[in-house]
Amino acid sequence: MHTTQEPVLRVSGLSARIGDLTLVRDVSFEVHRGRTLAVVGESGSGKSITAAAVMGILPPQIRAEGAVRFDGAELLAEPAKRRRARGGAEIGYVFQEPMSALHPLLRIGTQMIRPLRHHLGLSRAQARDRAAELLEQVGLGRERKVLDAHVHELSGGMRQRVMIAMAISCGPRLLLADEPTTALDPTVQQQILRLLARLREELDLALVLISHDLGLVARYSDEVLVMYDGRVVEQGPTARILEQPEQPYTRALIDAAPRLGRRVDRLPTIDRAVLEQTRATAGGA
Amino acid sequence: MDVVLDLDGVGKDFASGPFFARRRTAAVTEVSLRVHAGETVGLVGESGSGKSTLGRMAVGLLPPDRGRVTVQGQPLSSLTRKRMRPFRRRMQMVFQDSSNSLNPRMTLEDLLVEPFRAQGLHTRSDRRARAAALADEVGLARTGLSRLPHEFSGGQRQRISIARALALEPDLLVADEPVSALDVSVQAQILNLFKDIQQARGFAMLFVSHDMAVVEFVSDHVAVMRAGALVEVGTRDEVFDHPREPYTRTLLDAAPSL
Amino acid sequence: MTNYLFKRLGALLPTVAVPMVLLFVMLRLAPGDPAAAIAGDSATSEEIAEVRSRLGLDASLWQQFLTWLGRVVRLDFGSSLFSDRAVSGLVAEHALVTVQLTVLALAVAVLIGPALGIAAGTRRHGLLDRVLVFGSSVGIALPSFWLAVLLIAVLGVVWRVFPVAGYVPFTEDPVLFLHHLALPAISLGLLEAATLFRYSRAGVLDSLHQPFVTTARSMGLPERTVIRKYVFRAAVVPMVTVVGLTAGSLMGGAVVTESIFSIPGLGQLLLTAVQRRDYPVIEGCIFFIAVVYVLLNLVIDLLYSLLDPRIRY
Repeated sequence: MHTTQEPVLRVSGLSARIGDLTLVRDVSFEVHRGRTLAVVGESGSGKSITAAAVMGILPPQIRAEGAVRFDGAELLAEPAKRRRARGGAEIGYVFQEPMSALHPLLRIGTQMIRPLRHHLGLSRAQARDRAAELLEQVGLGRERKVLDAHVHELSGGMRQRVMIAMAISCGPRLLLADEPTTALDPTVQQQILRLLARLREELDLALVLISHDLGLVARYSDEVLVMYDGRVVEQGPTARILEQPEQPYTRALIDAAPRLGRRVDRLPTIDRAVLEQTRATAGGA
Repeated sequence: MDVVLDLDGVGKDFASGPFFARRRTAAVTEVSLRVHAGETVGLVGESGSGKSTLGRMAVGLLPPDRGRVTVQGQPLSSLTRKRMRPFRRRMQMVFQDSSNSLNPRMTLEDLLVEPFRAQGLHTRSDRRARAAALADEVGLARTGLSRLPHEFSGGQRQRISIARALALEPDLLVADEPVSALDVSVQAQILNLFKDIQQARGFAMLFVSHDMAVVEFVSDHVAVMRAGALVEVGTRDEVFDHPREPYTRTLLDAAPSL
Repeated sequence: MTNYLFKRLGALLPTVAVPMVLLFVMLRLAPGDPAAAIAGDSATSEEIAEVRSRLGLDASLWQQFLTWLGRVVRLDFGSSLFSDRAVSGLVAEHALVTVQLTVLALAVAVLIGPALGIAAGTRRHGLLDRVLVFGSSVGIALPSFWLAVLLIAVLGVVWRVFPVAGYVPFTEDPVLFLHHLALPAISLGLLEAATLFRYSRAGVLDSLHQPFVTTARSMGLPERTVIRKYVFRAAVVPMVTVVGLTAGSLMGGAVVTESIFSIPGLGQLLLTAVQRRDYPVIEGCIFFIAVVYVLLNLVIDLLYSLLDPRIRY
């Protein structure tokens, strides 16, 4: 069904460099409407840089190369202004720390209204109504209280809901979520991931879920892409990756995480040989 | 087995609100809990549950407003400031973000020697020998003794913090979310290290975490905390196999699994 | 909020009282005798002693202190030892001039500094940025009287665009008032503008890389909107402190500038009083300055809570 269509996002041979240092090497993947791709890796794996390169919010000293096709357009070749204009309207981005990703001095309403007016040309009153609807859609109720609140007055879960409401506010077709639940309590993590899954269905979004936690995103993704040291180690359907990982690194990553019900004496760690072999063979380099 | 840490009806309030209409809210209402020598009690709860506050009270970093904290038979409240100082070596704490608790200008050797110096123990050459032995024990290469904290990775810095806490051979170790900031692969190494060292040394450990799977791996007994109170206490197998409280079940359901 | 205000106003008392007591003691212990100055160069020691007793300066330091304290708690600073004019009147009259000068100088600083700071911060390493950073370094290094003298020489003496000295009250002639205060206000304000430039540029550079600014960009808002509504809004809060402290240091700097431009302000009054050991006038001036400083700090803190919703008293 979905997979026969043209993908919303097709990344091929994406690399990111800072000077002579390669942070991301030759990453390729596709995301379709209504599907979720989980990009999994530890710190330094390049997963967040990959997402930022797609979004076009890399720090200026980092250069991206390769191809990022979004709805038939080549994003990396576009002028900065055109790329910027796609933000919010076509591609939404959910940041890891909603506390710092939302402006500390502006009311939630003010921050939500600006993109709505800019992209959709709504009046102030219309934008405010729309913002209230969006907050309801992400489970914050229709009350105007949240609109008038400042970010420090909200709980961690509420903040991330606001962040998500803002990211979907202008009707994007692609949503990139960079560690959207890392800063949250486990019970809230589940709620946020369920919310993202629900919105993906309702809005027919293509969703990219960046995470360091394979166990967390497993339940919520159709496909997984495992990264290490800036390269793709392995990618494929989530169930296949979890049950029959082809790469020893993937296997080791799965085993190293403590898992409920597995009463072992010691946790298997990832040994150096596996890491070296992964570095040598990953990404076809 | 010997009771090392005995929390008896311990509670702590925090003041909030404006100056005149100041309200006191209980961070910890009234908690009783024991930790024996050679045993790890996992204290699990969500943010705001009061688990970190309880951990701090257990090592005397925070005086309780109610109840009594007893370590190795010694009620902490009856210790004068002067007698508290030497007693501190018997109870140590490891924090989540170790990079903040390490002086950035001290080398690894200085950092490992410092606990002895603070307590006025051993001769200078003896201290250095012990520092090197500690580095071995937590898996840090001796070649790194002259390096500064920023030259180590997050996992290695957590090893340094553990080594510092162990230097004075404490009877009680409180670890407050010691692996939450670490990558899964590093977390596995540090969790193994905690287990190995405890088996070798036999101290009592209170392991504070929000992660059910981590607590299950590391603990002998588990205490579940919510809104300042313990809702369920039991052996690891009791709590994880047959949770009595709905809240414990909620936490178990929310834990990521494969 | 009201509680906080009461607490802060209560704290005002010791903050002003401690420097006043210190001032009293230091003035009496410092060499110099007002009685001798009043009696004149040719006075005999008897005449000087007579003046001294008339002024109450022959009592013990302790007694003098109690009398002084009794008056000061009623905010009565007495009258000048030389002109018999009430200190309160003298201070009020001169302070008005200084406050006017300070406000004008502050206006110059606030209009120029932050605007250039934002312009430079958003074009980091550009030509404008480099020129302005260099200019501000010079500005911060220069003593204010040097700029005053330069301005007098160029605009006053060579081009004759501004009067080089004097003061005309606003009520008499607003245009002449501004004309006379223009040079002193510019020479004071420009240098403070350099400080404000530094802080606002640093504030903008800091805010530019805050995550919430990245969020605004990720939502597709144009860079102009991002700078104006997100970056500047964050950078402006710490500026309040700097502007408030600037107002304080401007009052201090006014003392020197006033004497260069012969402006009858608080600085001039204070300078003359110190030279003549006119104790009551010195005390009156310092009291006024101390109260202004403390109130300025209070206003800064209150403004802070208005601008930053995270701060509530």
